[in-house]
Amino acid sequence: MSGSIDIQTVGLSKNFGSVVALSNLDLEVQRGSVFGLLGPNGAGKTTAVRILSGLLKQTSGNAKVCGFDIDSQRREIKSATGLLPETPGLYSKLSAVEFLEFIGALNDMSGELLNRRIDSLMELMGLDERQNDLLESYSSGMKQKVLVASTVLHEPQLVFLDEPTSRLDPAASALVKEIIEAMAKEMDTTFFICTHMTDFAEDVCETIGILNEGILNTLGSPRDIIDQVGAKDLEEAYLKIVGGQVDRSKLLSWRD
Amino acid sequence: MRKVASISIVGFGIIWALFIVPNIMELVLAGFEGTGIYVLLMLSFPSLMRSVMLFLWIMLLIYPISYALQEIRIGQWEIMLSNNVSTWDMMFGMFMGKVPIYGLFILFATPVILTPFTIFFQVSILGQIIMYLTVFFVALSTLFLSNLITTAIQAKLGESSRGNDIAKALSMVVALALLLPMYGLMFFSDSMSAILGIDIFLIFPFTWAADIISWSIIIFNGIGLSAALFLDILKLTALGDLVLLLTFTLLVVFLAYVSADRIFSFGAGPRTEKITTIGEENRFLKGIKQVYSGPPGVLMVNSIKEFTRKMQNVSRLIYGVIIAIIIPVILNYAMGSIAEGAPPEVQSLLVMLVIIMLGMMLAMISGITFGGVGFLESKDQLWIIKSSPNGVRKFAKARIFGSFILIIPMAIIPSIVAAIVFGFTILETLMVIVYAYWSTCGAVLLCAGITANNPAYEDQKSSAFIVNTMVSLFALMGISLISLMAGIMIMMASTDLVLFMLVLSTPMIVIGAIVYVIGVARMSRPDSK
Repeated sequence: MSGSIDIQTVGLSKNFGSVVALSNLDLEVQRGSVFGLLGPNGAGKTTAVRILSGLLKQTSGNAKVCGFDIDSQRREIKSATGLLPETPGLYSKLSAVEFLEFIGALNDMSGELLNRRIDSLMELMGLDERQNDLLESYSSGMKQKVLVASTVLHEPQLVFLDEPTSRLDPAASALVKEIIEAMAKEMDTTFFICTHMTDFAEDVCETIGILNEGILNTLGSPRDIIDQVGAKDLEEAYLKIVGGQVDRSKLLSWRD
Repeated sequence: MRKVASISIVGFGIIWALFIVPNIMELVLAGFEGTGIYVLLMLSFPSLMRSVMLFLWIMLLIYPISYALQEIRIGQWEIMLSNNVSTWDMMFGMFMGKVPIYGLFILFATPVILTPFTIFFQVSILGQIIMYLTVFFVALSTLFLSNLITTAIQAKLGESSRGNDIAKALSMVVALALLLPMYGLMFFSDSMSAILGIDIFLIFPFTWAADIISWSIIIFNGIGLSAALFLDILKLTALGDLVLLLTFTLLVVFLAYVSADRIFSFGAGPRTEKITTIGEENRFLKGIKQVYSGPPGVLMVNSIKEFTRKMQNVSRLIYGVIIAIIIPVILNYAMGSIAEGAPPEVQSLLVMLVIIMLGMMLAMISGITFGGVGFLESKDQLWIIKSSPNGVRKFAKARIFGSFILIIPMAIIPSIVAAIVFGFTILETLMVIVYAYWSTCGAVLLCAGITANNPAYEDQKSSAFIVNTMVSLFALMGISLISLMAGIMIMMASTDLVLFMLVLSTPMIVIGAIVYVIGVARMSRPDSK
């Protein structure tokens, strides 16, 4: 990890009408680190990612991503970052190779370099034998692997991953974990991961922020957070912080 | 509120049927009293009735199928079936769900169709009741048949991106698949009837219904019509038609009942049945990459591949080309008797009109296909495109240039057909090709700009899609009309055909380019909500 900061937000807020999606987010993420943003559904994680990746305008506040201002330097942010959206739109009528070529070309890549990278990534993902099949015939797990490959294809400095392991089996999740750790360590790539898979976050992330109803109410390493609330693991800590712990005595009360 | 609105609409429909339409029709028919229209009505009402019922039957059969195929949603079926709802209940429930809206259409349309006859023939109340009941019965049975067909197709295709694609392609061709044989039947009915020994139209349910209505008029008329006169025309008695119609309807219901379980036993759909593996790129696409080297070429080629692999896009384009080919053929046939003996200027004008219509048809179909529904598949895809630097501009440029390449054969084929039909010289043929191509490119730019400004993606049932389609069609027609007027003024000043074609096609390109630039700029902006 180098000393510079890849994400710096000051009072970042977003309202959708009367709904407060994000409220005064103050955050710093070091270059080469793996940051995890946890939170329940509707907490504002995806909103935060979209603002920081230059896709959504904030209501107030400011942020710098890879040293670029999110208001005036969106193009530069997009050049330096990669994004795996929560519900990505694959081109079902393209093969995996063609889709990766398409994404590479959008990022001004072409030729031998692009072709070599695509071949290597497809082999790494275990999809080399299906690489010329149309994506419409892929399972959701296979599609997610292709999408992860598309996100890192152009070697971005900072990668936004929104629910990267949601459709993956344990082996594939482990592979994505390894890729993240290798890129962060070897290439100083920063990762900003939105997830509600606490075990994944606990394994991979160096720093975790817990977002609830648009407010970042916890920030620290997984160990610090666990110790802070006296939990045995991150899942328990998370449930204590955001609520949602189950009252077993009321589990079957709906039957009366 | 909904109950009040529903009751009000139905109440208005009854007033419409019992008072408004009869009074209007009486006034209209009074104007024709003593004219040949009366004689025409008396002699031709059985044929008229068959034509009207054919139209109604096709509408109630085709439109629900075409509409339902625009998006397959069988995920909801799985939820219902897993909750112990019987397949027959589902089939019947889906039919009942369609009855109100189509019923309203029938309630408002039937009086307009039947009232002229009831007034002219002074049909008694009992006869009118039978007529109206027949129409409602046929409408319901056709809707039931349509529902059965739709359900079977949807279940077979399954809910997957491939299934949806096939369904959308089918929704385009289902109309042609039914209409073309019908039109063929009309043209060849005499010879087929001679071969079969019976009136070919007697095998169709809409004929039986139409004839029941005709018999109601004949039996319950107040102007002294004799039933014996019409037996030769109608061939079957009223009872015979009724028996056939009832038997057909009961058969359809029985078929639906026994096959409901099989219909709703859907699989995973085409996704698991067929895996398409892509071969090596063909020379044409490789050639494009050589001409446009680097990332732009890759984007354009992949954009062309993605577009042409979707059946719905290809079927829409083929439909447009077929219509564009048919226009000069049919109009040449229809104009034949007009053109003979007419001054040369009139003949030239007629030919020009045909070419203009050809261009407009290609422009509309291409605009809506390339620039509308085929422009961008989903919001999720847009996020991916927008996440790269200048992603939207690069993507849109690739899409547009890819479209310009695909339009070439679409402009050439109908133009060559028109050239053969009207005997154009090579130069004139080239002019028509350039005009068709140029105006079609303009239409694609225009429609792409409109879509980029208000993306509807591939949801053809969304309000955004309907708005975009309406705006695109009106804009295309408006610009074409203004260009035509300008072109005619030019022609009156100087008879330069080249200049005329240029004036006719250039405004579309210019306005299209402006709308495109504005649309893409707006699409590139970050979302604010």
